[in-house]
Amino acid sequence: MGSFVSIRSKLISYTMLLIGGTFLILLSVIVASNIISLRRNMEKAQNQIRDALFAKGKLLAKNNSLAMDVMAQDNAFTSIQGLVASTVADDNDLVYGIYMDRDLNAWVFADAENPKGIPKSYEPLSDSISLWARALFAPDYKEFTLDTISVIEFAAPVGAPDEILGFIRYGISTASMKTMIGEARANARASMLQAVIIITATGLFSLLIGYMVLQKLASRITLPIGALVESSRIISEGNYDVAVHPQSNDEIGRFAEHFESMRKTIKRYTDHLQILIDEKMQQVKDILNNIDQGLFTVNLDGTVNNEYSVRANEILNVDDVASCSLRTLLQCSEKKEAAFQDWFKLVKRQYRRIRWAKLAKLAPVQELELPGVDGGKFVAVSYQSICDKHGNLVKIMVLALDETEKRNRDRQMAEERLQHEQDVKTILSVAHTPAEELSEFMIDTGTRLRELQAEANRHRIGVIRQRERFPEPEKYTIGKEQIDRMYRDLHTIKGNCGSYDFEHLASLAHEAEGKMELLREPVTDRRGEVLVALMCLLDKMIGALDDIHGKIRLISGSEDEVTVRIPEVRVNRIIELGTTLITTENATVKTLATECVQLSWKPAKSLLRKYQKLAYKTARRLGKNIRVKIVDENSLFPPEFIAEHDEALIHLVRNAVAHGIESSEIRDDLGKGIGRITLALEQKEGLRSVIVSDDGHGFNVEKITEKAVAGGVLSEMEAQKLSVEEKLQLLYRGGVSTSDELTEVSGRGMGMQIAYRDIAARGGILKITTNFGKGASVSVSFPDGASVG
Amino acid sequence: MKKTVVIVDDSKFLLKQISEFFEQQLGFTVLATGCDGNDAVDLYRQYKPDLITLDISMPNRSGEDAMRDILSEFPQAKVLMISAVRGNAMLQCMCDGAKGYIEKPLKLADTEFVKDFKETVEEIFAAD
Repeated sequence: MGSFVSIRSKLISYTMLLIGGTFLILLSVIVASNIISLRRNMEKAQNQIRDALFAKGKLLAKNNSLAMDVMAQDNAFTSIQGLVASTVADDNDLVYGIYMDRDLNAWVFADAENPKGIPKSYEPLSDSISLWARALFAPDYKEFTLDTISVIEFAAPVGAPDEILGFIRYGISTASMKTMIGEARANARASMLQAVIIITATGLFSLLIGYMVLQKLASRITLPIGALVESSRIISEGNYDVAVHPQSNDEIGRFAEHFESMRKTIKRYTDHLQILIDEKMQQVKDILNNIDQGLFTVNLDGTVNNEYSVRANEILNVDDVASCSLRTLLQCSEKKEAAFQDWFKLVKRQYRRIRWAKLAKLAPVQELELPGVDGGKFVAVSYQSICDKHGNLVKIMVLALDETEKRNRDRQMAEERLQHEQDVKTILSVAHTPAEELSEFMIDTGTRLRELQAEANRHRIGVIRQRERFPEPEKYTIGKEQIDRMYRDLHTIKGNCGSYDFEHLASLAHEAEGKMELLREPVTDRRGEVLVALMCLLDKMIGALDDIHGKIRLISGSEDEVTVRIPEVRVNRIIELGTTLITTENATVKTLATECVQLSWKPAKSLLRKYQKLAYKTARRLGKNIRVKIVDENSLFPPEFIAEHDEALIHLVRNAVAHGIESSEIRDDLGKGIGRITLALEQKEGLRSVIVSDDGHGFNVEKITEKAVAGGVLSEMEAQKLSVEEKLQLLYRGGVSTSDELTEVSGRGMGMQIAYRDIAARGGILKITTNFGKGASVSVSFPDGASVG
Repeated sequence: MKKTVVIVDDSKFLLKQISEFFEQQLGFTVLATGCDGNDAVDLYRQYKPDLITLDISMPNRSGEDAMRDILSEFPQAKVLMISAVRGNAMLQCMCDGAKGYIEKPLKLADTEFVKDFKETVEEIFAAD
């Protein structure tokens, strides 16, 4: 903006310029017109003077000519002389007076030197004027210069025109006329000058008055503007409380009124705005205080703002985030602090061009490790841009998230994953390694480890003793050979473990090797401590070995079960031989024979696993929650035992889960909890039985009977004679199902029937016992040895 | 008109990977590749490509120094840092005039990574 010029001074200067200009033009017009009129008047006056002179001359010549006519006729020379001489003497303007006859003889020649008019000579006149006058027939005049005097000669013939006697001539000097004209001109000039002076003075005076009046007027016009300007200045500073009063009734007054209403509107809005802002700020504060994240904002110069979440204090281990510097909050070194300044500069320059995520990633602090309640605390730090409504970056929000738990969980998960991986590798390796080889490895490693343990312990005791005897010179040394041997053992264990993929044990062996190195001379660490650490590692190794042993057992069965692999042909041979011996009376031989026969037998749990799985699968499909228990799961049974029950078992298990066990909701209502199904194998009284029991609602005997009667299976009379057991047998006959709904698993009233037919066809017995509401048990039995041979 | 790029990295394998990425995914013409900081400056002078990518840690002359040399000679040069170096070195490169950065390892099978790579290159040329 240029320099300030007030409206008032502009108004005054422009108006004064206008008035001054107008005045000058006016003045010059007046002066010019005055000059013109003066000149015209002058000419007029000049002509008048000249006309008067001419009239006088002409009249004089004419009158004299008439008067002299008689006198000339009478030759009254004296009279003529007297008239001319007195005329010249009476009038100062007359330079001369002449009367001459036709022959140019001057009768009278009167002038100043010759007042009586007597001619100086009698010679006829010969000058040019006299010659001009001699030719006249009527009065006339002629101007000429006589001895430097400008003279007009008025001449007239005397006598009748046809008989001219002479000529009367008067020379009138123009000097007086000129003097008169000069006087008139001087008068005119003087009056013009006077007029100019008066006009100028009046003009200047009125200019002065005008200026003074204008000043007052301008002040009156511009005063309200000044007040408005002052008001707007105050308002522009943010103070909307100063009222604007209209001070005039013109446009400025109107403007002031509008300005005032505008101020009021703005004030209303700003007041409201303040309330709104206060409300919003409160909301933001509430959010900040309830937020579970450490959150605060920093300006682009790195200063920390007053807004932050309460949680931030806790996460960042400070009392008041706002009173800390960024450096304190984010545990910055000097270098990091400088890097932060660089980062702020980069962010300011590039935030419109580069995605925020990329910029945020460049921030010098991305995570913090702070002292926590128990151990270290991990805090992840992230940054968010905060822009105003125009999209200009105004500040940066820093989010600090306590990730200790997450990290610990991650670490734990990683450890578990590693553990599982190792377990899987171990299991795979065990499964793929011949049992004898594994057994050798186990024995070899176990022996080595125990020897190593013993030796380490011996050395430890030695070292302790040496220390106890200190300062006696007896020194306990662990010989190089001893160390080498132990090292070799560990190395062998490591190598073996490596070849079997037993990674955990291998890594422990590697670590133990490291400890062994520390025992070599010259010793730098305290040997006692190294040995304790070594023994600790050896303990861990034994633990790891036990783990491997556990895996072996998992795969090959429990310890008292099969752990050796013998070709099937040989087993069959033994069984065969045992069978032939079984009739012997010798108790020992009989026991041996029985053991031989039972070589091929399997535990109930492996025989029944298939049905257990089936039960679980069925339950999952029906959305029921069950547990399947196998009774005496380790008891041995011949594998063919189950073969003859297979189909029946499938039906019985499905029936038990689908119909026996109630839905989860009903069981919950009844307080019965998880559904229990029991599978049992029995071999007694010459019968091999499979028993499937459940703790469901059991069979409703009466309902079964009703249905059978309704289905026309038997008459009501017959029904009344039946025992409970017989009534239950009705289930096997077609068309009776206790289930009211159809399910995809079973429920067409066919399940029991199919099972029964299958069993009966093969000479089996199906038996049901039930306790309505409490559960049911179905057993399928075949005579012992029915399918043997 | 295809944009041109010069790629500088001390790993031959990565040079191949980055070149393929630029040619196949971004439609660039790879003018040349170099394997140290000196190559970077020479190749820039020779080809004046639309873009040059630099690793930070390279033999003979580091990517940072090479970038500064290139920028002092060609202030309008567009430099993309592709490096495993994190933290301050990368920040300094960006402060000193690199137009963008990509963090190694190059997970070119990861759609997120590829998206980020493409967007970074777009950003570099968006300013024009």
